[in-house]
Amino acid sequence: MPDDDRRTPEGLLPLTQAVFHILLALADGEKHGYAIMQEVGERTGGAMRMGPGTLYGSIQRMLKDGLIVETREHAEPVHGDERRRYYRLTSFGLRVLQAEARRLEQLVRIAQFKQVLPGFGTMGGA
Amino acid sequence: MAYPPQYREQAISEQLYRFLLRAYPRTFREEYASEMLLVFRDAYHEVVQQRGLQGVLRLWSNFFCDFVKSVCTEHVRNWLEHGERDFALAGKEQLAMTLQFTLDVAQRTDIGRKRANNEDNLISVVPEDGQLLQTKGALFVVSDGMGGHAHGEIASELTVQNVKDYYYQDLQNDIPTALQEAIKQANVPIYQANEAELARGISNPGMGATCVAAVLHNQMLYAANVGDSRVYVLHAGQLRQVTRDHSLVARLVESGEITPAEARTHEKRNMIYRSLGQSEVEVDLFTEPVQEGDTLILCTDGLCGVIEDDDLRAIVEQYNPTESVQHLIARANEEGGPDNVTAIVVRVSAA
Repeated sequence: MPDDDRRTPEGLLPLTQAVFHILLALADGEKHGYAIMQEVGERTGGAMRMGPGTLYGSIQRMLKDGLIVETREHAEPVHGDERRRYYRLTSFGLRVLQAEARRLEQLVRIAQFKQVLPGFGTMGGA
Repeated sequence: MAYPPQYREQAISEQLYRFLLRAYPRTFREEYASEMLLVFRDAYHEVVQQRGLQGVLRLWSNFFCDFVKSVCTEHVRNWLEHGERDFALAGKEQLAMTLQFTLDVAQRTDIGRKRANNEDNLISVVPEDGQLLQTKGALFVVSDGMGGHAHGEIASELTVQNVKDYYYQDLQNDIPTALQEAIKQANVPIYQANEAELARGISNPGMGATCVAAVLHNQMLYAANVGDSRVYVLHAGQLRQVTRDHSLVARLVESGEITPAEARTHEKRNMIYRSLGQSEVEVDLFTEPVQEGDTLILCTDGLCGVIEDDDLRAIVEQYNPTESVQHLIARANEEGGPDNVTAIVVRVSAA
């Protein structure tokens, strides 16, 4: 295990789309590869179509960076007897996800402030 | 065999995807191809149920785009991470016959996870010239370089090349003498480079290297070493360290002051009292018989200082040499990959 907790999440920002979506998909519990793909597809209304290559390429690097870990023993395989690999967020992964979400939030604030988006400063005013 | 049409289509699709998966870099493929195939199968089931053939076509167009993009990405990353040098060194496998044996050889070096460059080097020589093979045998060398400003890389590169050249050029001495002499000769240019830097006023040039070299010839193993890179032999399920490290922790283990496990985490575990780059170098030599079925392992401390001997044995026992070197390096990296990792695995079988 890399010694996560001494690293600052900011060093890894900005995240790629795929990494951000995978982290989000794992935010509420461990999932296997296909479940991650399904959730990303549903959550973006099909706009983000992540294929297996992008998925496992991202997973490989996220494992290396200590954002996620593989949870090997899984009691109930979903389909038949196939042994699937499940992944879950590490505490460092969660901190990176939060940092990225905050960074995006700031960008949205700026967009609102400049009245590119409705919200901040325009609500109720017009 | 006759399948209902939808199963046949699925089987064809799966075969096609399985075929495409071969385009990914080997390490990536070995790790994830079976998972990717499972994902493909799941996605296929889902679209067939929801949208039929049209769904399948849409799936293929998505997955094919993903395939093209991610294959390129993975190859570029693989190249960047392991560097050009690793490409040239990795996965080289030789099958060659010495007089009595067939040798299955695999070698690999990896930067690890913490270092900025790879200062390890390695070479395997199984002469194609039958005459040379008969007189000198097959040679394997591993070296771990030391010194800043790329000096470590140069030192280990010089070591492996020079040991090889001097060993095969020496047609007068017997094998063990020639091997020891080759390492002593390889020391000279490194020592001279240090002297030259001292003369230029550089106070602490510190270019150095470990060296472990093994020759297989006529059912005998000759192993010579300086420093803490090692030769092991796996014989009948038992792993034995052939060479004796010239390191502080090895002495402490021998005197019973610390255990081998403590040696792996000891704060002075990197301290070695013999290395190439000094004015004089003493080379130890170990000789022993080898038999059909034995496996020879050469490695740097980035491997044997990181993983337990039991893990080393389990991997080499379970896998063939090509798979073994991959698993050994992956294992060291799982343990944090604190140093460069290098391994040569040679399996001896009947001719």
